Amino acid sequence: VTLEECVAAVRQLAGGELEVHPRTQHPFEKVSLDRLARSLEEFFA
Amino acid sequence: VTDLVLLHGALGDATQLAPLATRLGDGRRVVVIELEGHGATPLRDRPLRIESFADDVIARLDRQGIARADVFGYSMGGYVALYLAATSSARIARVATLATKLAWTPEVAARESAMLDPVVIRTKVPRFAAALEARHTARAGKRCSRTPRSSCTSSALAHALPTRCSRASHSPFGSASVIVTPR
Repeated sequence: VTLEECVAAVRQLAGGELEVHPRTQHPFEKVSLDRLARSLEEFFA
Repeated sequence: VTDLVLLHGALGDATQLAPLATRLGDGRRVVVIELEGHGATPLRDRPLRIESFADDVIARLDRQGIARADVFGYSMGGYVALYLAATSSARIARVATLATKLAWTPEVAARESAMLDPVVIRTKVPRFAAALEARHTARAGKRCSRTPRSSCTSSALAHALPTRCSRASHSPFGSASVIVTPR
């Protein structure tokens, strides 16, 4: 997933937000769950 | 507090999201939904489609008495989440996706579909193939009684991928992003 396509998508969404998790590989097992959880908690709060 | 639904990616299952669910469960109900043909959830006699996954999510919300939910979708689960936001806005409050590819061309779709070919998976990444079979063969679907369900699911998922998009950029496994969409 490229940054460019994410930026393009967010720009088409009224109120859309984008957060980049750098150096994160695609497999879910390699995602930092603590960082992801913080992001989701903040957004869904 | 709005309930939160978590959706896994293609060839994933509910157990993948359990560690995330435990991190998000403080003060709200978190529901991990396993999609058809994944993990212990059997395949049914129909093609795998984002639309049918979405129908199953709504049915689950109905069964659990959830009128409206936030949804997080990882990778393919993000398509289901976005589809729900577009088609069932009364039931979906907010959507977040992670690592959901949004730029598709026929060439990208062909390449991604090829990556879901079970023969290719077994040949190129045999350890991954073994892990998939362990994850998905606990209760084989009836259509796959003689074939590991991971094979059936990976083949069927090739037809569930998006195929229409105007942008050409690609790098499917380069980086992960969180995209959050509005109410």
